[in-house]
Amino acid sequence: CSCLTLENTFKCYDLENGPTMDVELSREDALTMYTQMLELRRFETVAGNYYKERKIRGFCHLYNGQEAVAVGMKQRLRSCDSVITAYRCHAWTYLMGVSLYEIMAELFGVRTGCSRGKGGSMHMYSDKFYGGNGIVGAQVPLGAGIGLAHSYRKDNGVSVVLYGDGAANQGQIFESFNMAKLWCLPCIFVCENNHYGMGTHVKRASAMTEFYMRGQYIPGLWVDGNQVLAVRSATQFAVEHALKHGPIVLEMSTYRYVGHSMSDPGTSYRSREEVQATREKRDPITSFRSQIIALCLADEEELKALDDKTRKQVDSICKKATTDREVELDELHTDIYAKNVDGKIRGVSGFHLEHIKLAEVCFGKPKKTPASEINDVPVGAEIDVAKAKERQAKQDAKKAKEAKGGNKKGADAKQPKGEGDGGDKKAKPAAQPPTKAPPAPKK
Amino acid sequence: KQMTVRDALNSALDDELARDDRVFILGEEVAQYDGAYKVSRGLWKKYGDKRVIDTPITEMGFAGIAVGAAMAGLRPVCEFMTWNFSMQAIDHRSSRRGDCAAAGQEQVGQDGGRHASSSSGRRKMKKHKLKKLRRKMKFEWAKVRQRREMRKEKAFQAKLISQIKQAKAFSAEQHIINSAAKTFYMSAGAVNVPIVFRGPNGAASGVAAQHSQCFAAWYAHCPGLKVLSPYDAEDARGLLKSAIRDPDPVVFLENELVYGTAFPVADNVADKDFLVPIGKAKIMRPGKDITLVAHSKAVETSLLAAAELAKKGIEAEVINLRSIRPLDTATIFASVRKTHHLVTVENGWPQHGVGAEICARIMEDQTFFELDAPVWRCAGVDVPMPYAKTLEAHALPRVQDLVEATLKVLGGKVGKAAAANK
Repeated sequence: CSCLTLENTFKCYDLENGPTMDVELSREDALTMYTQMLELRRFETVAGNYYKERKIRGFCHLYNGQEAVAVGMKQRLRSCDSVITAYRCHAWTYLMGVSLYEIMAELFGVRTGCSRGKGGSMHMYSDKFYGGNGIVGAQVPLGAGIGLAHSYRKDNGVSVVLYGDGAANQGQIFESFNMAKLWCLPCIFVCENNHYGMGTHVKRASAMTEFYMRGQYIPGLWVDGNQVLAVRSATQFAVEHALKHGPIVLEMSTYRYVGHSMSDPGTSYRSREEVQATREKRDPITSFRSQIIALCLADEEELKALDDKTRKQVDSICKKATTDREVELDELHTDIYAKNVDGKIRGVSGFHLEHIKLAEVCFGKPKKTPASEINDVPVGAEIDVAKAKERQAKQDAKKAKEAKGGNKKGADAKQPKGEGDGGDKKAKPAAQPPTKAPPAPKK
Repeated sequence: KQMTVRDALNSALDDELARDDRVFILGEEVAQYDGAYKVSRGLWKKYGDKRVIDTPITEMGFAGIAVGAAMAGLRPVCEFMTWNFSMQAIDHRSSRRGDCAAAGQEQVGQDGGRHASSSSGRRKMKKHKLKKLRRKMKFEWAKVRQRREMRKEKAFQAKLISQIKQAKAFSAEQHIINSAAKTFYMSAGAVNVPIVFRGPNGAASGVAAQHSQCFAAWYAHCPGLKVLSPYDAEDARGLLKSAIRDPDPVVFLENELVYGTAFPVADNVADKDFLVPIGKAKIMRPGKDITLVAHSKAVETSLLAAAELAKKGIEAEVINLRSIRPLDTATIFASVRKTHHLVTVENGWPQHGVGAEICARIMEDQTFFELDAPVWRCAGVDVPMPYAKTLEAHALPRVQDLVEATLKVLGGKVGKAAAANK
């Protein structure tokens, strides 16, 4: 373990004490964080390349340059904490337990993808991770709701809600702030300020650019989001604060090297020099690397080896995902309802599609909607059928009695059946449950 | 035995709050005020602040919070004071996006055209003349140039904005639809959203256009949602309990005008486990000459019309839809096969409405060939709801409208039907 003192990393708003400036760093932690950042950087680069090859469709928002925020925060979140973020969600998805393979597979839209090729870049989920959200700012009230669930269940968890500097001007964010403070919800609102909402610089979009102060009645903390140790320390502080005193706003000052999404070259509204300067002076990976070396936690050669290793690893994982099969056509009409009531789903012309339910095999672990919940609610004609059967059974029983001593098989056989799976055809266990396995080599 | 719709809803909420501790109510004025329409009366006293939560008047925010809580495993019942306020949470549509893109293109087009014509005109002049002209027009042209540049800049910005808007399709906000309805599918079944949005829907009396409209068709349009519209006390109680127990997002459209109406109910309706199945219509009155399909308040109109028709010797069958999505077409089809005539009744607007959907479904089914006359729709007049009493009354289908429509559909058969009855 080594100690170091952080400098110029925090600004407090309405807080008596900020986070500790003296932090400890163990070799193990250092290498984990360093590797994670490398992996994410490489992953996003590869994803960008595949996008340019037109193998990835639609929107694809890359996290290059902002890695320190997700990696640093994740270090200090406990297993009971939940996270919800915006559409720039690959990094968080990975850190919340989905493998890089599954994320890449999702980008390709193949069957092993973490949302089975139905969500794409912006819609990935995991345990305690409630997704990227494609609507700017919509995740903030959702996150406050998750905070409400934590406080409702008293499970000691904290809800981390991330949004960008563009979304920070959305009305619903202030609505959420208000209710979170009112009800003292354990929420950490994190504004990832990468200084551009799409192509609009914060100065051109916000009347007040100190986002950590914009909670007004909520205490705030400005953090240098390009220093992973500062982020880590701030998160520790925020979690404790949220549990004790309710919501807190963190502003992570960071920078994105790439355009807003793949369709944006990112050069019309800012100069190449600006990007280059940030890359050189404030890059989260390079600066952390020099910190590690300065603290003698690892030497140059070791890190170099690690660089190469990670790079190769990520490349091979991503490459493998390209070879996977695309999602089956059946998947089109799968999992629209947790409990389907409509007999058939309408296809392009006519009601001929069967609603399929696959939900049980998601995330590789069985996540069944409890049978009690499914069977709680009677569906469609089920009640009538059950009643008719009951009546029939009674009549049969009567007849059997009248016949006296005749064999009672008829009555027994026609006992009402309480079962009924709500018109859902349980799909055959979809070849193999996706996830968890994929990164392992498969010959 | 009698029960008002308000009591039915209240007791249903009470039952479900007691049954499952994950269920909680949240909305404007639901707790200390006892509910804006007194639907949640007494629940706050009984269950306290944790289970019955008053929110500020910020629909977009609390709809989102409710969805978030549902995603994280709770079972919120989110009350909108009226469904008209849910517009805050689903609205700000994409119309502005379209405008921007169109405006941008137009400007680019104009710009290009002018540029070409002016340069060709200049070339034909002699040198000294050109010099003169230049001197004279210096500022003029500078202005033109500047304007052109500004226009270009604007076009570029508009393009950028339209891209942004596209990127965030329906940028503003659609919690109910975008967050609640689509999450289960997008997450491949990993995250379900067991939530009920409820509140009074449709025309109340004397509150004019902003507070009187039916959202059945709006919400029923979206796959992933279930849309229920109860009519009487039995519907209200049974359906609300089913909705709360259902693992999917349910939109529950009540009608303010019938809250205080007492309906006769069977004994078993008060049972703790009385449930009405989702996706099943109810035949309110059997008949053999014509079918009237309605939901919510329109069921009442239909029943009255049926009584009126009975005087003329026509037996109308009245179907109460109960669920708008899923739509119980089986019951409708069976009825049409019997009566061979159909009129749909609703208080919402006609275009792309519930009636329109029923017509379409029949056209696509064998049942079409069973029809002896075209299906007719009786719907609210295609105007925003007026304020004045008589105008308001005429803006919704009345009993006599229904009777007229029915007679028209039955056409020459009216006499025959009456004769057959005799």
